[in-house]
Amino acid sequence: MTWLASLPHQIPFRAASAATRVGDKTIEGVYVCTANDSMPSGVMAVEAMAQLGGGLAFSAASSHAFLSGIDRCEVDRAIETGDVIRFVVTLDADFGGTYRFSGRGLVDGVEVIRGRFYLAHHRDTEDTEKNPL
Amino acid sequence: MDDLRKKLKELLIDRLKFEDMTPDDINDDDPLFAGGLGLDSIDALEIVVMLETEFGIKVKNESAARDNFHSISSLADFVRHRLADEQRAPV
Repeated sequence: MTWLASLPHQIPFRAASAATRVGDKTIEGVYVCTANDSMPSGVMAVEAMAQLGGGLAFSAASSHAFLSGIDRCEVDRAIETGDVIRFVVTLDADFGGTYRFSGRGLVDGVEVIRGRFYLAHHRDTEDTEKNPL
Repeated sequence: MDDLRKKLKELLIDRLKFEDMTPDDINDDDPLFAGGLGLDSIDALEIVVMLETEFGIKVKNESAARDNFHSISSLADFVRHRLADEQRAPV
């Protein structure tokens, strides 16, 4: 089973496909926009980036993380049925179970979406509330 | 106001996007997390990135963050000590 196939959110909520790791800190993958998507295509595209980031950081450990923040996300144009977005997602930094990624997506070689997002690896909730560090 | 403390406040305001806040609004000894400014784990990561990009200080140890990220005062002391350690280190 691939790491993407092991995600708790499967189709129609699994947005990313064709994930390929290209180095320690970069992963590439695809989101294909369809008429049957379960959420608005922009949301699906951000979710795809997050799922790819998770694959980059957690596939080796066979564990998962939560999407905990989105920052500086920009979408240049409406993402339409039939668009195939090719993503490049890079791990910027991690500390204390929180991981920051940058991602950008291209359709036919033209960048249409970019953003920064955070994944939080599971920690004991009560402990995290007492001390975020 | 101590120059380093003022710089740290300006960097936090900029990087953590505290709108309508000035360095004078942050007291040196106010807790940064758990009350005080109410920073969270994402902010902690941004502080770690800020220390590396602005001062060349790498923080890999969570306990170092727990001990030194309490307030602007403790953060400034941490930066001073780490920069002094680097200057003393043999080339």
